[in-house]
Amino acid sequence: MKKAVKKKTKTTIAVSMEGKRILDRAVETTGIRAFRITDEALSEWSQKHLTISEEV
Amino acid sequence: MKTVYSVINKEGAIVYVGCTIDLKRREAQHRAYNPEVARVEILEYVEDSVANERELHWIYKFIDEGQPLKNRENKKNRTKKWGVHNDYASQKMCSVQILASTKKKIDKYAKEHGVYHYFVVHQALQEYIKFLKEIENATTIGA
Repeated sequence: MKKAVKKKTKTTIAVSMEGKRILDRAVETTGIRAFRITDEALSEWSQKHLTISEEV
Repeated sequence: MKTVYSVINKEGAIVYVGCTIDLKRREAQHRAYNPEVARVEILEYVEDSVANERELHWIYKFIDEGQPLKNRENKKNRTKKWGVHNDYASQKMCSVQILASTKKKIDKYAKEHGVYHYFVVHQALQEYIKFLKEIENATTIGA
């Protein structure tokens, strides 16, 4: 049976060229797609920082 | 630690916002450069890592209030869509795709902290590259 995959909405953000280079390197290192890495990196970072701000 | 400060002229208008580690020295420079300077007021003390962002927060706040700031940022167009500082905007930017749910978190954080999307993204990616370096080091040591 085919597994149901929830489609997630993507959006576009602006990053500096330096940021893009970091992403490109991350893609090379891990072999996964740029948007996924970006999302993981940002999600991890924002969760950490949002948790701190909410605790305060 | 840095001090974010405003420069006020003899008419009581805010003409400049800056951040510095040595306020006395900067105040003397402002007075030497502009005889119309009446006083310098401390807006807040901030950690070095967020000093530029907080400075921009005050710059935009005072610009929005109609203060005649002479910061160079005031002379150029602001990139409204991303709220990007001109120093950042002068860097070549490019687009990347992320999930809309993550974008919401970034928006929330940026709004709460008075910082800009670019700053949040930049910080996250900087941390990410540190993480990648750690993986590389671990692989090299283990190999």
